[in-house]
Amino acid sequence: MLVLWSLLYDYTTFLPSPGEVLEEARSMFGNTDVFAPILGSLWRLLLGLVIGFVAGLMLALQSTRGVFLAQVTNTYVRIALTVPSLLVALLGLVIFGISDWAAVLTVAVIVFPFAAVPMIEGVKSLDPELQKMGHVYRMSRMSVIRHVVLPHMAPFLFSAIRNSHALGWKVLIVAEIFSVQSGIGQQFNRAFSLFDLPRVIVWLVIFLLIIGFIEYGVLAVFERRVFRWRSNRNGRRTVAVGV
Amino acid sequence: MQTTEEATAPPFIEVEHLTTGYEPGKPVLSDVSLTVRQGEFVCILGPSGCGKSTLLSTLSGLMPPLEGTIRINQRDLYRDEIKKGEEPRLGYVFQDHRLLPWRTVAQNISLVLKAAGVPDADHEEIIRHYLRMLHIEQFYDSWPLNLSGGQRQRVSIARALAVDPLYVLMDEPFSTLDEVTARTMRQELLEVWSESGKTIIFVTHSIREAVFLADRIFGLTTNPGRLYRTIDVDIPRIRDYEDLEIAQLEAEIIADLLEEWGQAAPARDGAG
Repeated sequence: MLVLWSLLYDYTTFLPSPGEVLEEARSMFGNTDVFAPILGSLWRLLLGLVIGFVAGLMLALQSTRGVFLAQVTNTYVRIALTVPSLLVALLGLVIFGISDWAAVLTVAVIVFPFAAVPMIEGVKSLDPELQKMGHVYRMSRMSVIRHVVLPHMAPFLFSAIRNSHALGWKVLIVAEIFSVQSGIGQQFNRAFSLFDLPRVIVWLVIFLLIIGFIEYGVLAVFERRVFRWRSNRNGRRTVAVGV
Repeated sequence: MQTTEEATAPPFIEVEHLTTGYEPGKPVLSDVSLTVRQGEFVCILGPSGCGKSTLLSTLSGLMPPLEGTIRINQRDLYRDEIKKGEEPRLGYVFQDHRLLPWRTVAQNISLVLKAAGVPDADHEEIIRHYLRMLHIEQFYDSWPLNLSGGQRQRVSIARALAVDPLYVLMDEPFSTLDEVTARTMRQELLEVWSESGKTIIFVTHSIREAVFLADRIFGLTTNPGRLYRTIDVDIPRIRDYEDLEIAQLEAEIIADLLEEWGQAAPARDGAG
Protein backbone atom coordinates (compact mmCIF):
# COMPACT_ATOMS: atom_id res chain seq x y z
CA MET A 1 0.00 0.00 0.00
CA LEU A 2 2.59 2.48 1.17
CA VAL A 3 4.92 1.64 -1.70
CA LEU A 4 2.11 2.09 -4.20
CA TRP A 5 1.24 5.37 -2.55
CA SER A 6 4.85 6.59 -2.73
CA LEU A 7 5.07 5.59 -6.39
CA LEU A 8 1.80 7.36 -7.19
CA TYR A 9 3.09 10.42 -5.36
CA ASP A 10 6.21 10.40 -7.50
CA TYR A 11 4.31 10.22 -10.76
CA THR A 12 1.32 12.45 -10.11
CA THR A 13 1.02 16.05 -9.14
CA PHE A 14 -2.05 16.08 -6.91
CA LEU A 15 -1.29 13.39 -4.33
CA PRO A 16 0.35 14.34 -1.03
CA SER A 17 3.29 12.24 0.21
CA PRO A 18 2.88 9.84 3.14
CA GLY A 19 5.13 12.13 5.14
CA GLU A 20 2.92 15.14 4.60
CA VAL A 21 -0.13 13.14 5.63
CA LEU A 22 1.57 11.90 8.78
CA GLU A 23 2.52 15.47 9.65
CA GLU A 24 -1.08 16.55 9.08
CA ALA A 25 -2.39 13.74 11.25
CA ARG A 26 -0.06 14.71 14.06
CA SER A 27 -1.21 18.31 13.99
CA MET A 28 -4.85 17.21 13.78
CA PHE A 29 -4.64 14.93 16.78
CA GLY A 30 -2.82 17.70 18.63
CA ASN A 31 -6.11 19.56 18.63
CA THR A 32 -8.92 17.83 20.46
CA ASP A 33 -11.67 18.48 17.95
CA VAL A 34 -10.96 15.28 15.99
CA PHE A 35 -13.09 13.03 18.14
CA ALA A 36 -16.19 15.18 18.27
CA PRO A 37 -17.05 14.69 14.57
CA ILE A 38 -16.21 10.99 14.80
CA LEU A 39 -18.46 10.41 17.79
CA GLY A 40 -21.17 12.56 16.21
CA SER A 41 -21.10 10.49 13.04
CA LEU A 42 -21.01 7.18 14.93
CA TRP A 43 -23.97 8.18 17.02
CA ARG A 44 -26.04 9.24 14.03
CA LEU A 45 -25.08 6.09 12.15
CA LEU A 46 -25.98 3.82 15.05
CA LEU A 47 -29.33 5.48 15.59
CA GLY A 48 -30.17 5.40 11.88
CA LEU A 49 -29.12 1.76 11.53
CA VAL A 50 -31.09 0.64 14.57
CA ILE A 51 -34.25 2.36 13.35
CA GLY A 52 -33.89 1.00 9.81
CA PHE A 53 -32.95 -2.45 11.05
CA VAL A 54 -35.77 -2.82 13.53
CA ALA A 55 -38.27 -1.56 10.95
CA GLY A 56 -36.94 -4.13 8.49
CA LEU A 57 -37.19 -6.90 11.06
CA MET A 58 -40.77 -6.03 12.00
CA LEU A 59 -41.69 -6.00 8.34
CA ALA A 60 -40.02 -9.37 7.74
CA LEU A 61 -41.79 -10.95 10.73
CA GLN A 62 -45.11 -9.52 9.56
CA SER A 63 -44.66 -11.24 6.23
CA THR A 64 -45.19 -14.59 8.00
CA ARG A 65 -48.77 -13.64 8.69
CA GLY A 66 -50.27 -14.20 5.29
CA VAL A 67 -49.67 -14.29 1.58
CA PHE A 68 -51.35 -10.97 0.85
CA LEU A 69 -49.32 -9.07 3.41
CA ALA A 70 -46.15 -10.74 2.17
CA GLN A 71 -46.86 -9.60 -1.41
CA VAL A 72 -47.60 -6.02 -0.39
CA THR A 73 -44.43 -6.00 1.67
CA ASN A 74 -42.39 -7.39 -1.18
CA THR A 75 -43.64 -4.86 -3.69
CA TYR A 76 -43.00 -1.99 -1.34
CA VAL A 77 -39.50 -3.15 -0.48
CA ARG A 78 -38.57 -3.63 -4.15
CA ILE A 79 -39.56 -0.04 -4.88
CA ALA A 80 -37.90 1.34 -1.76
CA LEU A 81 -34.62 -0.30 -2.81
CA THR A 82 -34.30 2.07 -5.74
CA VAL A 83 -34.88 5.37 -3.92
CA PRO A 84 -31.75 7.55 -4.33
CA SER A 85 -30.14 8.53 -1.04
CA LEU A 86 -29.43 12.05 -2.27
CA LEU A 87 -33.14 12.62 -2.73
CA VAL A 88 -33.91 11.43 0.80
CA ALA A 89 -31.08 13.53 2.24
CA LEU A 90 -32.47 16.65 0.54
CA LEU A 91 -36.01 15.82 1.68
CA GLY A 92 -34.68 15.38 5.20
CA LEU A 93 -33.07 18.80 4.97
CA VAL A 94 -36.38 20.31 3.86
CA ILE A 95 -38.36 18.60 6.61
CA PHE A 96 -36.01 18.83 9.57
CA GLY A 97 -33.75 21.70 8.59
CA ILE A 98 -30.14 21.43 9.66
CA SER A 99 -30.32 18.84 12.42
CA ASP A 100 -29.14 15.41 13.47
CA TRP A 101 -32.53 13.90 12.71
CA ALA A 102 -32.27 14.67 9.03
CA ALA A 103 -29.16 12.49 8.77
CA VAL A 104 -30.44 9.81 11.14
CA LEU A 105 -33.71 9.35 9.29
CA THR A 106 -32.04 9.48 5.90
CA VAL A 107 -29.86 6.55 6.98
CA ALA A 108 -32.87 4.72 8.40
CA VAL A 109 -35.05 5.20 5.31
CA ILE A 110 -32.35 4.16 2.84
CA VAL A 111 -31.02 1.24 4.87
CA PHE A 112 -34.41 -0.20 5.78
CA PRO A 113 -35.23 -2.02 2.50
CA PHE A 114 -31.69 -3.36 2.19
CA ALA A 115 -31.98 -4.77 5.70
CA ALA A 116 -35.47 -6.11 5.00
CA VAL A 117 -34.60 -8.12 1.87
CA PRO A 118 -32.25 -10.68 3.49
CA MET A 119 -34.51 -10.83 6.53
CA ILE A 120 -37.55 -11.66 4.40
CA GLU A 121 -35.47 -14.44 2.84
CA GLY A 122 -34.63 -15.58 6.36
CA VAL A 123 -38.29 -15.72 7.32
CA LYS A 124 -38.99 -17.80 4.21
CA SER A 125 -36.37 -20.31 5.31
CA LEU A 126 -37.93 -20.87 8.73
CA ASP A 127 -38.52 -24.44 9.82
CA PRO A 128 -42.23 -25.03 10.54
CA GLU A 129 -41.35 -28.23 12.42
CA LEU A 130 -39.38 -26.40 15.10
CA GLN A 131 -42.20 -23.88 15.42
CA LYS A 132 -44.65 -26.72 15.90
CA MET A 133 -42.46 -27.93 18.75
CA GLY A 134 -42.76 -24.46 20.25
CA HIS A 135 -46.55 -24.54 19.96
CA VAL A 136 -46.86 -28.03 21.41
CA TYR A 137 -45.00 -26.88 24.50
CA ARG A 138 -47.15 -23.71 24.62
CA MET A 139 -44.25 -21.34 24.19
CA SER A 140 -45.43 -17.75 23.89
CA ARG A 141 -45.15 -15.90 20.59
CA MET A 142 -42.36 -13.72 21.96
CA SER A 143 -40.51 -16.76 23.21
CA VAL A 144 -40.84 -18.52 19.84
CA ILE A 145 -39.52 -15.42 18.08
CA ARG A 146 -36.61 -15.05 20.48
CA HIS A 147 -35.53 -18.67 20.80
CA VAL A 148 -36.68 -20.29 17.56
CA VAL A 149 -37.19 -17.68 14.84
CA LEU A 150 -34.35 -15.21 15.40
CA PRO A 151 -31.57 -17.79 15.96
CA HIS A 152 -32.73 -19.57 12.83
CA MET A 153 -32.55 -16.30 10.92
CA ALA A 154 -29.14 -15.41 12.38
CA PRO A 155 -27.12 -15.91 9.17
CA PHE A 156 -29.59 -13.68 7.35
CA LEU A 157 -29.53 -11.12 10.14
CA PHE A 158 -25.75 -10.89 9.94
CA SER A 159 -25.91 -10.44 6.22
CA ALA A 160 -28.50 -7.70 6.81
CA ILE A 161 -26.31 -6.02 9.44
CA ARG A 162 -23.27 -6.05 7.13
CA ASN A 163 -25.24 -4.71 4.17
CA SER A 164 -26.83 -1.94 6.14
CA HIS A 165 -23.63 -1.02 7.95
CA ALA A 166 -21.74 -0.60 4.67
CA LEU A 167 -24.58 1.27 3.03
CA GLY A 168 -25.24 3.31 6.16
CA TRP A 169 -21.81 4.96 6.00
CA LYS A 170 -22.24 5.91 2.36
CA VAL A 171 -25.59 7.49 3.05
CA LEU A 172 -24.49 9.16 6.27
CA ILE A 173 -21.54 10.94 4.64
CA VAL A 174 -23.83 12.30 1.92
CA ALA A 175 -26.45 13.32 4.45
CA GLU A 176 -23.89 15.01 6.66
CA ILE A 177 -22.54 17.05 3.78
CA PHE A 178 -26.04 18.30 3.03
CA SER A 179 -27.97 18.50 6.19
CA VAL A 180 -25.72 18.42 9.23
CA GLN A 181 -22.94 20.87 9.72
CA SER A 182 -20.82 18.40 11.65
CA GLY A 183 -19.51 14.86 11.54
CA ILE A 184 -17.01 13.09 9.32
CA GLY A 185 -18.98 14.00 6.19
CA GLN A 186 -18.70 17.66 6.95
CA GLN A 187 -14.97 17.28 7.70
CA PHE A 188 -14.49 15.71 4.28
CA ASN A 189 -16.44 18.52 2.72
CA ARG A 190 -14.49 21.23 4.46
CA ALA A 191 -11.12 19.66 3.64
CA PHE A 192 -12.19 19.31 0.03
CA SER A 193 -13.30 22.87 -0.35
CA LEU A 194 -9.97 24.07 1.06
CA PHE A 195 -8.31 21.59 -1.28
CA ASP A 196 -6.45 20.27 1.76
CA LEU A 197 -5.66 16.82 0.41
CA PRO A 198 -3.48 15.58 3.28
CA ARG A 199 -6.41 16.26 5.58
CA VAL A 200 -8.81 14.42 3.26
CA ILE A 201 -6.51 11.42 3.35
CA VAL A 202 -6.16 11.49 7.12
CA TRP A 203 -9.94 11.45 7.38
CA LEU A 204 -10.12 8.64 4.87
CA VAL A 205 -7.70 6.58 6.97
CA ILE A 206 -9.66 7.29 10.15
CA PHE A 207 -12.82 6.30 8.32
CA LEU A 208 -11.31 2.99 7.16
CA LEU A 209 -10.01 2.25 10.66
CA ILE A 210 -13.47 2.74 12.13
CA ILE A 211 -15.05 0.45 9.55
CA GLY A 212 -12.34 -2.16 10.07
CA PHE A 213 -12.87 -2.04 13.80
CA ILE A 214 -16.62 -2.46 13.51
CA GLU A 215 -16.22 -5.40 11.14
CA TYR A 216 -13.45 -7.29 12.91
CA GLY A 217 -13.67 -5.93 16.44
CA VAL A 218 -17.43 -5.97 16.86
CA LEU A 219 -19.33 -7.93 14.20
CA ALA A 220 -16.91 -10.85 13.88
CA VAL A 221 -16.69 -11.29 17.65
CA PHE A 222 -20.46 -11.13 18.00
CA GLU A 223 -20.87 -13.58 15.13
CA ARG A 224 -18.48 -16.09 16.67
CA ARG A 225 -20.48 -15.97 19.88
CA VAL A 226 -23.84 -16.39 18.17
CA PHE A 227 -22.64 -19.35 16.11
CA ARG A 228 -20.63 -21.07 18.83
CA TRP A 229 -23.09 -23.97 18.79
CA ARG A 230 -21.85 -24.92 15.33
CA SER A 231 -18.30 -25.59 16.43
CA ASN A 232 -17.52 -29.18 17.26
CA ARG A 233 -14.05 -28.42 18.52
CA ASN A 234 -15.12 -26.82 21.73
CA GLY A 235 -12.71 -28.32 24.22
CA ARG A 236 -14.75 -27.54 27.31
CA ARG A 237 -17.80 -29.40 26.10
CA THR A 238 -18.27 -33.09 26.40
CA VAL A 239 -18.18 -34.66 23.00
CA ALA A 240 -20.53 -37.58 22.69
CA VAL A 241 -19.40 -41.11 22.04
CA GLY A 242 -21.67 -44.11 21.64
CA VAL A 243 -25.38 -44.23 22.36
CA MET B 1 -51.77 -55.18 35.53
CA GLN B 2 -54.87 -53.14 36.19
CA THR B 3 -56.98 -53.26 39.31
CA THR B 4 -60.78 -53.18 39.37
CA GLU B 5 -60.71 -49.69 40.74
CA GLU B 6 -58.82 -48.42 37.71
CA ALA B 7 -61.14 -50.21 35.38
CA THR B 8 -64.26 -48.52 36.73
CA ALA B 9 -62.71 -45.05 36.89
CA PRO B 10 -63.74 -42.70 34.07
CA PRO B 11 -61.34 -42.94 31.14
CA PHE B 12 -58.40 -40.56 31.30
CA ILE B 13 -58.33 -39.85 27.59
CA GLU B 14 -61.57 -40.37 25.71
CA VAL B 15 -61.80 -40.07 21.95
CA GLU B 16 -65.31 -40.26 20.56
CA HIS B 17 -66.28 -40.57 16.89
CA LEU B 18 -63.25 -38.53 15.93
CA THR B 19 -62.96 -37.50 12.31
CA THR B 20 -59.95 -35.42 11.52
CA GLY B 21 -58.08 -34.10 8.50
CA TYR B 22 -56.86 -30.95 6.84
CA GLU B 23 -60.01 -30.08 4.88
CA PRO B 24 -63.68 -30.89 5.44
CA GLY B 25 -64.94 -33.68 3.22
CA LYS B 26 -61.47 -35.18 2.96
CA PRO B 27 -60.88 -36.77 6.35
CA VAL B 28 -57.55 -38.48 6.91
CA LEU B 29 -59.04 -40.46 9.76
CA SER B 30 -62.71 -41.10 10.33
CA ASP B 31 -64.93 -42.17 13.19
CA VAL B 32 -62.24 -43.25 15.63
CA SER B 33 -63.33 -44.00 19.19
CA LEU B 34 -60.91 -45.11 21.84
CA THR B 35 -60.09 -44.62 25.50
CA VAL B 36 -56.82 -44.57 27.37
CA ARG B 37 -56.46 -45.18 31.10
CA GLN B 38 -54.26 -43.11 33.32
CA GLY B 39 -50.71 -44.44 33.36
CA GLU B 40 -51.35 -46.72 30.43
CA PHE B 41 -48.89 -47.30 27.58
CA VAL B 42 -50.80 -47.57 24.32
CA CYS B 43 -49.46 -47.93 20.81
CA ILE B 44 -51.15 -46.71 17.68
CA LEU B 45 -50.11 -49.04 14.93
CA GLY B 46 -50.72 -48.45 11.29
CA PRO B 47 -49.26 -48.38 7.79
CA SER B 48 -47.95 -45.22 6.13
CA GLY B 49 -50.64 -42.72 5.31
CA CYS B 50 -53.25 -44.05 7.75
CA GLY B 51 -53.33 -40.79 9.69
CA LYS B 52 -51.31 -41.79 12.76
CA SER B 53 -49.49 -38.48 12.91
CA THR B 54 -52.67 -36.55 12.21
CA LEU B 55 -54.27 -38.33 15.15
CA LEU B 56 -51.38 -37.23 17.37
CA SER B 57 -51.64 -33.63 16.16
CA THR B 58 -55.33 -33.66 17.03
CA LEU B 59 -54.59 -35.18 20.44
CA SER B 60 -51.98 -32.49 21.07
CA GLY B 61 -54.59 -29.76 20.88
CA LEU B 62 -53.07 -28.05 17.83
CA MET B 63 -55.47 -29.34 15.17
CA PRO B 64 -59.21 -29.08 15.78
CA PRO B 65 -61.09 -32.22 14.66
CA LEU B 66 -63.58 -32.09 11.81
CA GLU B 67 -66.07 -34.07 13.91
CA GLY B 68 -66.17 -35.80 17.27
CA THR B 69 -64.69 -34.97 20.63
CA ILE B 70 -61.55 -35.54 22.65
CA ARG B 71 -61.77 -35.39 26.42
CA ILE B 72 -58.67 -35.31 28.59
CA ASN B 73 -59.49 -35.90 32.23
CA GLN B 74 -63.14 -35.21 31.40
CA ARG B 75 -62.37 -31.84 29.87
CA ASP B 76 -63.10 -31.28 26.20
CA LEU B 77 -59.77 -30.45 24.60
CA TYR B 78 -61.24 -28.16 21.95
CA ARG B 79 -64.69 -26.98 23.04
CA ASP B 80 -64.33 -26.27 26.73
CA GLU B 81 -63.11 -22.81 27.38
CA ILE B 82 -59.55 -23.23 28.52
CA LYS B 83 -57.86 -20.21 30.00
CA LYS B 84 -54.47 -19.22 28.71
CA GLY B 85 -51.84 -20.98 30.78
CA GLU B 86 -54.27 -23.70 31.82
CA GLU B 87 -54.05 -25.83 28.70
CA PRO B 88 -53.30 -29.44 29.58
CA ARG B 89 -49.55 -29.92 29.72
CA LEU B 90 -48.28 -32.51 27.36
CA GLY B 91 -44.97 -33.96 26.33
CA TYR B 92 -44.28 -34.63 22.67
CA VAL B 93 -41.45 -36.68 21.27
CA PHE B 94 -41.17 -36.22 17.54
CA GLN B 95 -39.68 -38.53 14.94
CA ASP B 96 -36.72 -36.16 14.75
CA HIS B 97 -35.44 -34.72 18.01
CA ARG B 98 -36.56 -31.11 17.35
CA LEU B 99 -34.11 -29.65 19.80
CA LEU B 100 -32.98 -26.10 19.18
CA PRO B 101 -29.39 -26.56 17.95
CA TRP B 102 -28.42 -23.08 19.18
CA ARG B 103 -29.38 -23.82 22.77
CA THR B 104 -27.63 -26.27 25.09
CA VAL B 105 -29.35 -29.41 26.33
CA ALA B 106 -30.22 -27.72 29.63
CA GLN B 107 -31.43 -24.53 27.89
CA ASN B 108 -33.65 -26.56 25.57
CA ILE B 109 -35.43 -28.13 28.53
CA SER B 110 -35.42 -24.91 30.51
CA LEU B 111 -37.32 -23.16 27.70
CA VAL B 112 -40.25 -25.56 27.80
CA LEU B 113 -40.26 -25.50 31.61
CA LYS B 114 -40.57 -21.74 31.45
CA ALA B 115 -43.43 -22.06 28.97
CA ALA B 116 -45.10 -24.51 31.39
CA GLY B 117 -44.88 -21.91 34.14
CA VAL B 118 -42.25 -23.64 36.27
CA PRO B 119 -40.31 -21.08 38.37
CA ASP B 120 -36.74 -20.53 37.14
CA ALA B 121 -35.23 -21.53 40.48
CA ASP B 122 -36.51 -25.10 40.11
CA HIS B 123 -35.26 -25.66 36.57
CA GLU B 124 -31.81 -27.04 37.26
CA GLU B 125 -32.99 -29.64 39.73
CA ILE B 126 -35.77 -30.85 37.43
CA ILE B 127 -33.51 -30.93 34.38
CA ARG B 128 -30.81 -32.89 36.21
CA HIS B 129 -33.39 -35.33 37.54
CA TYR B 130 -34.70 -36.24 34.10
CA LEU B 131 -31.30 -36.21 32.41
CA ARG B 132 -30.13 -38.63 35.10
CA MET B 133 -33.20 -40.79 34.52
CA LEU B 134 -32.19 -41.03 30.85
CA HIS B 135 -28.49 -41.52 31.65
CA ILE B 136 -27.34 -38.34 29.95
CA GLU B 137 -26.63 -36.01 32.84
CA GLN B 138 -23.06 -35.53 31.59
CA PHE B 139 -24.47 -33.68 28.57
CA TYR B 140 -26.17 -30.97 30.64
CA ASP B 141 -24.10 -28.21 28.98
CA SER B 142 -23.61 -29.84 25.58
CA TRP B 143 -24.80 -28.56 22.24
CA PRO B 144 -27.34 -30.90 20.62
CA LEU B 145 -25.22 -31.14 17.47
CA ASN B 146 -22.42 -32.72 19.51
CA LEU B 147 -24.66 -35.61 20.54
CA SER B 148 -25.46 -38.84 18.72
CA GLY B 149 -28.92 -39.55 17.36
CA GLY B 150 -29.84 -41.73 20.32
CA GLN B 151 -28.63 -39.17 22.82
CA ARG B 152 -30.62 -36.41 21.15
CA GLN B 153 -33.73 -38.53 21.33
CA ARG B 154 -33.03 -39.12 25.03
CA VAL B 155 -32.90 -35.36 25.54
CA SER B 156 -36.15 -35.08 23.64
CA ILE B 157 -37.75 -37.66 25.96
CA ALA B 158 -36.32 -35.92 29.03
CA ARG B 159 -37.82 -32.67 27.77
CA ALA B 160 -41.22 -34.33 27.29
CA LEU B 161 -41.22 -35.69 30.84
CA ALA B 162 -39.72 -32.63 32.52
CA VAL B 163 -42.83 -30.50 32.03
CA ASP B 164 -44.73 -32.99 34.24
CA PRO B 165 -47.23 -33.66 31.46
CA LEU B 166 -50.70 -35.12 31.79
CA TYR B 167 -49.85 -37.38 28.87
CA VAL B 168 -46.95 -37.93 26.49
CA LEU B 169 -47.31 -38.30 22.72
CA MET B 170 -44.57 -40.08 20.80
CA ASP B 171 -44.45 -40.10 17.03
CA GLU B 172 -42.20 -42.95 15.86
CA PRO B 173 -39.37 -41.63 18.04
CA PHE B 174 -36.99 -44.53 17.34
CA SER B 175 -37.61 -45.00 13.63
CA THR B 176 -34.57 -42.98 12.58
CA LEU B 177 -32.19 -44.76 14.96
CA ASP B 178 -30.15 -47.84 14.15
CA GLU B 179 -31.70 -51.07 15.41
CA VAL B 180 -29.24 -51.68 18.26
CA THR B 181 -29.70 -48.17 19.64
CA ALA B 182 -33.45 -48.41 19.14
CA ARG B 183 -33.60 -51.60 21.21
CA THR B 184 -31.73 -50.05 24.10
CA MET B 185 -33.98 -47.03 23.90
CA ARG B 186 -37.18 -49.10 23.92
CA GLN B 187 -35.99 -51.00 26.96
CA GLU B 188 -35.13 -47.79 28.76
CA LEU B 189 -38.34 -46.09 27.70
CA LEU B 190 -40.25 -48.81 29.56
CA GLU B 191 -38.11 -48.27 32.65
CA VAL B 192 -38.65 -44.52 32.49
CA TRP B 193 -42.36 -45.05 31.94
CA SER B 194 -42.77 -47.26 35.00
CA GLU B 195 -40.65 -44.87 37.05
CA SER B 196 -42.60 -41.76 36.03
CA GLY B 197 -46.07 -43.35 35.81
CA LYS B 198 -46.98 -41.18 32.80
CA THR B 199 -49.64 -42.02 30.24
CA ILE B 200 -47.94 -42.60 26.90
CA ILE B 201 -49.48 -42.72 23.45
CA PHE B 202 -46.88 -44.10 21.09
CA VAL B 203 -47.25 -44.17 17.33
CA THR B 204 -45.37 -46.78 15.32
CA HIS B 205 -45.54 -48.82 12.14
CA SER B 206 -43.48 -51.63 13.67
CA ILE B 207 -45.66 -54.45 15.00
CA ARG B 208 -42.84 -55.93 17.07
CA GLU B 209 -42.15 -52.58 18.68
CA ALA B 210 -45.84 -52.12 19.51
CA VAL B 211 -46.16 -55.57 21.04
CA PHE B 212 -43.00 -55.09 23.09
CA LEU B 213 -44.02 -51.69 24.46
CA ALA B 214 -47.77 -51.51 24.80
CA ASP B 215 -50.49 -52.46 27.25
CA ARG B 216 -52.90 -52.12 24.38
CA ILE B 217 -52.50 -51.63 20.65
CA PHE B 218 -54.90 -49.71 18.45
CA GLY B 219 -54.51 -51.04 14.94
CA LEU B 220 -55.43 -48.48 12.28
CA THR B 221 -56.03 -49.16 8.67
CA THR B 222 -56.03 -46.88 5.69
CA ASN B 223 -58.30 -45.70 2.86
CA PRO B 224 -60.03 -44.28 4.72
CA GLY B 225 -58.06 -44.21 7.97
CA ARG B 226 -60.07 -45.84 10.71
CA LEU B 227 -59.69 -47.98 13.80
CA TYR B 228 -59.61 -51.60 12.73
CA ARG B 229 -58.74 -53.61 15.82
CA THR B 230 -57.91 -53.13 19.49
CA ILE B 231 -55.44 -55.68 20.81
CA ASP B 232 -54.76 -56.30 24.49
CA VAL B 233 -51.17 -57.29 25.14
CA ASP B 234 -51.28 -59.54 28.20
CA ILE B 235 -47.63 -60.46 28.17
CA PRO B 236 -46.24 -59.78 31.66
CA ARG B 237 -43.55 -57.20 32.16
CA ILE B 238 -40.54 -57.09 32.24
CA ARG B 239 -40.58 -58.22 28.62
CA ASP B 240 -37.78 -59.45 26.43
CA TYR B 241 -37.69 -58.16 22.86
CA GLU B 242 -36.80 -61.66 21.62
CA ASP B 243 -39.40 -63.37 23.78
CA LEU B 244 -41.34 -66.14 22.04
CA GLU B 245 -44.65 -64.83 23.32
CA ILE B 246 -43.93 -61.49 21.70
CA ALA B 247 -42.96 -63.15 18.43
CA GLN B 248 -46.12 -65.21 18.55
CA LEU B 249 -48.43 -62.27 19.15
CA GLU B 250 -46.59 -60.37 16.44
CA ALA B 251 -47.26 -63.22 14.01
CA GLU B 252 -50.95 -63.25 14.91
CA ILE B 253 -51.25 -59.52 14.43
CA ILE B 254 -49.42 -59.72 11.14
CA ALA B 255 -51.79 -62.42 9.92
CA ASP B 256 -54.78 -60.37 10.97
CA LEU B 257 -53.76 -56.81 10.15
CA LEU B 258 -51.45 -57.21 7.23
CA GLU B 259 -54.07 -58.70 5.01
CA GLU B 260 -56.30 -55.78 5.86
CA TRP B 261 -53.47 -53.30 5.30
CA GLY B 262 -52.45 -55.01 2.10
CA GLN B 263 -55.95 -54.84 0.67
CA ALA B 264 -56.74 -51.38 1.81
CA ALA B 265 -53.44 -49.75 1.12
CA PRO B 266 -52.03 -50.07 -2.37
CA ALA B 267 -48.27 -49.65 -2.05
CA ARG B 268 -47.50 -45.97 -1.93
CA ASP B 269 -45.16 -43.60 -0.22
CA GLY B 270 -46.06 -41.00 2.33
CA ALA B 271 -45.55 -40.16 5.94
CA GLY B 272 -47.61 -42.04 8.52
